[in-house]
Amino acid sequence: MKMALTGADAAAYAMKQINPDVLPMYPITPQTQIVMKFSEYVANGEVNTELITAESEHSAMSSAIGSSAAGARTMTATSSNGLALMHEIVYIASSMRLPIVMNVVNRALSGPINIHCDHSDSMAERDSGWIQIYNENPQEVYDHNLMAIKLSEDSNILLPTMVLQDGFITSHAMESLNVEADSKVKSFIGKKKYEGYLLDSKNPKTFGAIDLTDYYMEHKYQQHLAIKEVEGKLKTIYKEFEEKFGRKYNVIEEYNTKDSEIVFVAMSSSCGTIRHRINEMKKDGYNVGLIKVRLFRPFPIDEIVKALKDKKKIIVLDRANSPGAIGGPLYEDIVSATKDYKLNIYNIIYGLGGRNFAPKDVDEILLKVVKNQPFVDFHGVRR
Amino acid sequence: MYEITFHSRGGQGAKSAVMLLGKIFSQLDKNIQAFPEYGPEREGAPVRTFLRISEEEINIKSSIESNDMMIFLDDSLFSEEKIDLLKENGILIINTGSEIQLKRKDVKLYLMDITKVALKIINRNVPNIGLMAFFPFLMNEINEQKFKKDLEELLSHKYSKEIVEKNMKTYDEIKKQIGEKYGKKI
Amino acid sequence: MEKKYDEVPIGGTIENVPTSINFKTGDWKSMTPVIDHEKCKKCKICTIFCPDEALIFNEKTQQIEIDYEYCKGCGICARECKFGAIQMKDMRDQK
Repeated sequence: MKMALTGADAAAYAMKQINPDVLPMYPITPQTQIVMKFSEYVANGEVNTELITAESEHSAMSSAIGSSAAGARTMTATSSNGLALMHEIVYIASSMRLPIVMNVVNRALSGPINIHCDHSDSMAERDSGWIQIYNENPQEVYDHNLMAIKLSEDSNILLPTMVLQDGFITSHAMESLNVEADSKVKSFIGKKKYEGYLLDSKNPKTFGAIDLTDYYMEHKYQQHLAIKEVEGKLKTIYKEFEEKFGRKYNVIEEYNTKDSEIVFVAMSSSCGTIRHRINEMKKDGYNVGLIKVRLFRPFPIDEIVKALKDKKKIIVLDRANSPGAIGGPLYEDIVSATKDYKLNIYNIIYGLGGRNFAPKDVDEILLKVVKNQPFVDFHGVRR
Repeated sequence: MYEITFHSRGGQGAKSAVMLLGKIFSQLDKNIQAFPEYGPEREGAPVRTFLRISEEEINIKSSIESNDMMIFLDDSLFSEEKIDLLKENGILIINTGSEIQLKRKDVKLYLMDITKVALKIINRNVPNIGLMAFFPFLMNEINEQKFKKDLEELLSHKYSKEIVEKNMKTYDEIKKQIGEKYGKKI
Repeated sequence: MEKKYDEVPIGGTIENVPTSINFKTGDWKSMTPVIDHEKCKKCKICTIFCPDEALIFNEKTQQIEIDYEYCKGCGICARECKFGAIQMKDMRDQK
């Protein structure tokens, strides 16, 4: 069924169909739209979810941990400083191996205070052991909410997932998308399988016990191995999803890369603008490619290497900076992944705090790179 | 791809209008993209809101720089340099009670005092639904009766019966005035 | 014997709880609490304060008893007893 929804509404609609047992929440712009819409579903009795209005994001994530450990299918959502306030608990969720699914609407971290999109909030959580899937439009947001549940709850994985979308650019822009029937969604995600949670009085367990020099490292190694399983599992889910709903995905997405010597590497909404410009340039006889990194954690190293190793010039777009580092977080991962091939990789830091990224910016960046300007540079800053 | 920019002030309902239009066009099996330019929400602050309608998939994610139609819901926001972003032979609608002359001669200009009608019927300056009457008038692919029905239906999801009725009355009045002023029966 | 990463439950979860029953802390103590039943008024304050539930009021004998298998000799009971009925004593030579 075709519907017109904003990215936030698409997330809320998916959550409605998933009908999680518990949803602790604390509103923050631009994520507010998601929990506002979802509260409406709760108030109308369209879901059976226990909605917990927490007093902060720290509490919301703590409640999510409690309910997930108890065995409830748990979802939540946040943005920016809310995610930063969760930070401490975000690590605990993944370390306790709780399959929480969280919609994160990317917004710049303060300060200076700003409500618009960049990826500084989620990049600050990239080492937390959560799975991170970056989405370009409401359709992807909707689809990946459904798939994230399956992925997180897989008994070989049991890790929480962040389903990310760009604040305002995606979250508040209405677009047409296909949504599936409730019954189809239900049969796709299935019931929560993993047994052995806290509320099992026959087999009582302790969760979150102290873990010192004796076993901490073994538990961290388990997490390390589990997240390595994610890429393979996600691909299986993508296949199943395609068979069921007809929409095809992969952990990275190549566009017009076959005959292009220059390729962009980017994440989330800007990929749309780049693709739009690529189509226009093609008409003028120029071939430029795009690689969209959808799965950022775990980083799909082999796929990235395969896609990039023969390219003349690679332009990595980072919507977050890591001050004092060699480049942006995506750039550093790409460089490390392709270390065996001597590649020309450029890094452009762009769009911080929602700074507009228009088709003309694609041209300007290309021009800079053709002129061999610095390998790591800002774009769109007045200087 | 058909691209429209709305210039309005916070509180005039341009965002609602664009979202409603998005839903209506989506039901016509078009691809749409409807989004406002966000900032702190303040009544009276100038806001731009955008609508893209297309048969093909819409990839672009930035504000519209080349419009097929531009709408000014508040005439104090209008200035001729703003329509530099309007394509040749583009459509310009201004909600105003005064006469406006343009230097550009290619533009199809429509002037209508929607605020006056809205103030009379709704008693507030929310000209968004009145403005809607222009769409079936300007776009041939729209069936006016279905459009009006869809609009009323979508409004009733959110507002009380009284408010919906008042808004639809505004719509009807503007529709009548368009017919009187610009001839074509709709 | 310390276990390898694949021999422990994931997420630091502990199974077969309560495991504290098997965790006998009795041999931790350097000082041992001893009850003077003459002075004891059976107020049971010590049973509430004991962090290991090593002091229990025995309904049959109507006396406070100390389970020395779990008492780690922290001395909280002796400090909290309002009647001086519990004394911490050096009993190393009696082991």
